[in-house]
Amino acid sequence: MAPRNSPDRATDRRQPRDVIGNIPIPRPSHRVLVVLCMDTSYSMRGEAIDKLNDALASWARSMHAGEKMAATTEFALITFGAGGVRKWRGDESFDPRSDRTPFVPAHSFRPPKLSADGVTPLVEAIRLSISVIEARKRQLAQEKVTWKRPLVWLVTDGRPTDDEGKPASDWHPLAGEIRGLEAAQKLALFAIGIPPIDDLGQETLRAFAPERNMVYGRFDFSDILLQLDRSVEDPNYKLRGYQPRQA
Amino acid sequence: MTSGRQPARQPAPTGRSAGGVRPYRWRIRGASVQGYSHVREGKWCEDSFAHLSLYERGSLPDVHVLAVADGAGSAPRSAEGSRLAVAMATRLVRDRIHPSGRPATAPDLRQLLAAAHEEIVTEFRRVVTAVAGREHIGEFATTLTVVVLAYPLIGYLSIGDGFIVVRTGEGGQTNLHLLDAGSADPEHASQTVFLTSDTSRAARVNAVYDPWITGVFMSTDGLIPVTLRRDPEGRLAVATEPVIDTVLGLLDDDHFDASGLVQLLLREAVTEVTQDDTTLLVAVLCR
Repeated sequence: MAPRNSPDRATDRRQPRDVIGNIPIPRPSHRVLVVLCMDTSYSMRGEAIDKLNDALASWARSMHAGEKMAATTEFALITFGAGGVRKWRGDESFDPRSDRTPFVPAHSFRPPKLSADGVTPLVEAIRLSISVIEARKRQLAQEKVTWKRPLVWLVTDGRPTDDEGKPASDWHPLAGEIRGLEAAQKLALFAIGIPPIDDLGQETLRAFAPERNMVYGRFDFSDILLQLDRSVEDPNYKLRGYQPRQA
Repeated sequence: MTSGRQPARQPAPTGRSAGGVRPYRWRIRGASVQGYSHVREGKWCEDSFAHLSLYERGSLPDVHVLAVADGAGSAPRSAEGSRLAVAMATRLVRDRIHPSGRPATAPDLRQLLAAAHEEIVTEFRRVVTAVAGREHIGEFATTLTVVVLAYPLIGYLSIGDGFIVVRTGEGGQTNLHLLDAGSADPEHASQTVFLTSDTSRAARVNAVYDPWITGVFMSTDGLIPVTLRRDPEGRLAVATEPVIDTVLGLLDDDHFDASGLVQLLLREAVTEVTQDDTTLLVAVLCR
């Protein structure tokens, strides 16, 4: 716009609404990276996996149909259970060792129809979540794009197991690594338990995310995704229903 | 901009001329729009703004107190908190100015705002405690940014991540200056200070003397992606896109319909960039 006393200002008789409608708006210069780390192990068969699929589909539709998430948010889907640990882009799952990023812009997120089977390689899935985040950060850095603190949303109905389905004990060091990453503001992990997660499973979630863990009494994936949306907007988001443990 | 000293240049014209020309005055308009994320959840807009004036005789423009606030998304009653904060802050600051009139120097204004800060924090906590109980103070968490226009002085008090841009002279991108902003880099922007925080004492307070100021744009962090940018060192600066300059330029026009500000906040290009509540409170010096 011309300076206040400029003759150009006097002749700029465009309607204000035309001017407002044509102001160039900066393109987003930062990203929010969110990993959905979803349990698809055998125990999720039946109602649980059906409700998860329905919730993911509905949530994705809300982002597509004009009710879109900010252009700055990118989602990655990682599952653990059927097929082991898998990265996804749309309907396509691919080897976790692949260099291909699973991150897609929020408005392009199209969840696959998931099936439930296999054991619960939760530790490997979390490590993969961290790895894909770091890889994406390197790509963004090359493009000179900044990012906010990435988020990992872990949803599981059980404890971590090894390849044979036996309870795994290698999650303890990982919990410590996550504490370190969070203390350095490199990551925020939300750990959600759904039925029939047992006491040991809940203990694992509390170890991973002491202040961002929650157990649902039923398969309310829609509410889980709603809380995920809020965490994208607010880095300090506290889970609704989070109950701090008594000392 | 200087702090407490007269510049060695001729100040901008004020007051009535011998021919009785209308004196300069501040024209102030504001707008606030609920963010898309809150629309989806059926939540109130958690941003608020307010403005009070002290009408004085004399040739200088009237003194005005402006405030914007942004309720914390994680706090269940933060919409109430932000409304309380702007109403309380503007009233307390105005009541501090009223008895002795407009501050004479930038140090005077800075001292007044520093005292007001203590009073605002104390009074906010007192009211919230009375309403909800001491253990629920955090539920009303909100940022707060206050600006005092006491031409040729401008002062501010800010808690949290609101920001203030001033325009000097005839405008244009080169005459926009970021007066104040919360400065955390995005990856570590998880430690916003609120009026209810223990660290609320770490407010930013300052006042400057500049007779060339002709416009002020203040906002909550929702508009940062649209109006500011980060320089290579990660510091915030005014964006190269002329959003702020254009808005101030439109407000220069007597006939500008302020609903245009809402139109700007509702533009798809803006809501694509930010899902947050967005608020702006702008002032231009005009005849």
